[in-house]
Amino acid sequence: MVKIVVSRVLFAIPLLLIITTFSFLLVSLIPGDPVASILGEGATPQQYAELRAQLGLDQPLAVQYLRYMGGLFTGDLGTSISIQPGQPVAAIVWTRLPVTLSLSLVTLVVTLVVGVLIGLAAAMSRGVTGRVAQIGSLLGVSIPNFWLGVLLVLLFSITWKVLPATGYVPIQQSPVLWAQSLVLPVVTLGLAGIASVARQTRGSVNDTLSRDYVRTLLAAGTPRYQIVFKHALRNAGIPVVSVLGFLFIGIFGGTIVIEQVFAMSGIGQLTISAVTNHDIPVIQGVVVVTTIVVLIVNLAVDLLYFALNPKARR
Amino acid sequence: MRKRSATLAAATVLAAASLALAGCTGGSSDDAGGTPSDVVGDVLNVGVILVPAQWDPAKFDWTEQLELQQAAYDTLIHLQPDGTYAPGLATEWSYTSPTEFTLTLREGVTFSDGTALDAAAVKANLDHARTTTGPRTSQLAAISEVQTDGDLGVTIDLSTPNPDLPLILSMAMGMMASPAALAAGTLDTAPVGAGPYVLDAAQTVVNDHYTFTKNPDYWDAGSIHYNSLVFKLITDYTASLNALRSGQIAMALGQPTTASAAEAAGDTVVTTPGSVVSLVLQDREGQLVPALGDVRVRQAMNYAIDRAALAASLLPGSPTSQQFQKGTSMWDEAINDTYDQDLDKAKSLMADAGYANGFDLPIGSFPLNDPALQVIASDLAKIGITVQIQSVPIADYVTLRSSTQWPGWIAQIVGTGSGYLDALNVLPPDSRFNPFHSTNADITAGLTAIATATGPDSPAYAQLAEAVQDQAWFLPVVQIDRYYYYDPKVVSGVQWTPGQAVPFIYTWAPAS
Repeated sequence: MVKIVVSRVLFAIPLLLIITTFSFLLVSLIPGDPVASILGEGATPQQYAELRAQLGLDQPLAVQYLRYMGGLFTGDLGTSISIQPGQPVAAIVWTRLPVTLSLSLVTLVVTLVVGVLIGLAAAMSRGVTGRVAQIGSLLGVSIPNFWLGVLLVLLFSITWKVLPATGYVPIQQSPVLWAQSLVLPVVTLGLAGIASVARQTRGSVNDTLSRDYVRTLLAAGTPRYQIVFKHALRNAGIPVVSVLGFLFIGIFGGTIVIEQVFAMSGIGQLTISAVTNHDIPVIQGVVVVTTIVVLIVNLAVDLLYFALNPKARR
Repeated sequence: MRKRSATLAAATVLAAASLALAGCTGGSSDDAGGTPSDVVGDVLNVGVILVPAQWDPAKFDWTEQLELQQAAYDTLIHLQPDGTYAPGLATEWSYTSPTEFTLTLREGVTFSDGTALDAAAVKANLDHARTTTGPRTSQLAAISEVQTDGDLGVTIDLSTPNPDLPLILSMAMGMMASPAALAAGTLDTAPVGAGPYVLDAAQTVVNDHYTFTKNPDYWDAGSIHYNSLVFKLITDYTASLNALRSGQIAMALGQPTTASAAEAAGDTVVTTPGSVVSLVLQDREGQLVPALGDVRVRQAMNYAIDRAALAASLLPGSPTSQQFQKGTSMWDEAINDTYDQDLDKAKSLMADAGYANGFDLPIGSFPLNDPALQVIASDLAKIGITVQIQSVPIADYVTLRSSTQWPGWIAQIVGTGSGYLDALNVLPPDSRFNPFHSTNADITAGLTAIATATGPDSPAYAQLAEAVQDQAWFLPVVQIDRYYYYDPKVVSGVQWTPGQAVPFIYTWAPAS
């Protein structure tokens, strides 16, 4: 297990370097001028030149890159140039991270729990319940999440007024309001994942239940629920865990749209704001932090997979 | 066995459905954040699509974020919804000559840090703004010196006349910050002003929501109707409308696509003329397209456009034959329908100019403006002009439009709120949007006249507007409306001030 952790961490360093370099080059190609977005159209050429020099944007790209990477190695992500001018990027990203992590992690948990339960139901019942679960899964994959979000807001916030339409409440401020502020975004963000996990679970459980040893257990009088929860579910869990990393990345990426729909000031909204305002250091900071989060999640998924699957440990 | 498994399956589906619906939280209507429109008279929740990036007034822009800026900072002069001026931090002001402007300050005003507002503080603010690089600091370019005259007297000397100083000093450049905070350089993160409200940092999450509490020391404390204002940043217009309809906010900026939904929900929709969509026919000497050098051709193009159709469909707003914004001194009601569509007249002018068979005309654009340009092009095709749309990415568009590569381009120039400054932006031969350095005797005379005009009602503005119209330097189409929504059960006094991006906060009051 220690070997896995060490190898993954060693692998993460060059990966982070490559992604940072690639994103730096990509960001430098974004059309538009950060100075123009700060000063507006009325500024004089002299004002443009002064601010450009002040921000170091008059330097060659290679110099800008070396300066940025130098800062990165010392833990300095730079300072914002337009969203919150002069403020450290690390602090800006840090204040937004809890919003996106709350949304992503709660969505992940709900997706897994609900998806597995629906998958189980679909696998165990070939009657109406199973059909409903199957059709529900299909619908879940097909419905665009931004449309679902609008629909849920219309019903739960505007018509029935039981849940907030927008905003995020930190858990330390009020756990109840925190949970309420997450209900609609989580359902919206998680539906496609729930459907996907449900289909995966259903397939795995069906596969396990058709094995010879299950038939033997049934013939020996072992209760069906015991077979499902003791044998089928554990085996079904392995393929689900193997896609967990992809699932999380999908959810994390999906927050960009969901945070806009529900006006949550997380990393997604920060990204859009940074791109719109040409705040290059913030864009870079978001890329670095997002990469680190994804690497940590992938490491956790790998460890979980190894824990669940004895074959992988050999 | 079969019955048991079916029951188990049904139970799991129910559990899953419950979890999915409640998101593991078990929400109840009593605790929901979406209760109808919050507390009247105590807290007013306002949706905003933009917030200040920092709090130094010298670096302020003056667009959709101005409501927060007005809460924290007061201006020397107040601009009222009817376009007139009222005392702010200054009680009196006047031009003693076209190049000298004097102000008398209000006595006894203090900033939120306790520093007194006096002539030295105003001088410090204006000098700071003049030497700072900011989106609006060019409005002070004409100031050559700021002098104090005792504790409460300020004299502003101008290198060239600027008749719109009262307007400029009622917007961002007229906002006064504590000189102590200016000197300490602490305005990046928190405002220190003398506005009607004070930012409550403990109840504020930057780029999420900003809480302002009533400033008990405000010079006009009786006009403050709320104990606190909470500005919630909602950058998506649909989300903003949802928040309004669910009662999370009482007011917000809107847009044409959601106006009918807001009205249907019982909200009040108020509109005001915004930016003008037009073609800037900048090759007025015909260097790239000889036909454009003939004023009759430019006039013919203006007569060819069905502005009413565009205003009723693609560009919701008011048809206009004028380049300048309604509500500014450069707008003149009398000439607004000069170029109502008249295809016969347009064809006749084209024939007189020797272009009866038309010509090809490249027009610069970027993707967002392409649909409107296509409609304009179809109208121009009726008089034989083939528009070649040269659509480029926005970054290239911004550069190319003020170069000599395009004979014309489609514009949506956002006004400054000042007719004088708007005119200076596009008319003088060395202005940003006159790259071919076009001149015309009547326009030059008009520019000279408005520089020494005594006020926005001066006939000099109308004369210049008429000259610009007559020369057809532009092909204005529609003045796009700006929309603002509010819940009339919660708030009243929401009014547009001419030429501004959002309503000013001074008149907001609880609904009766």
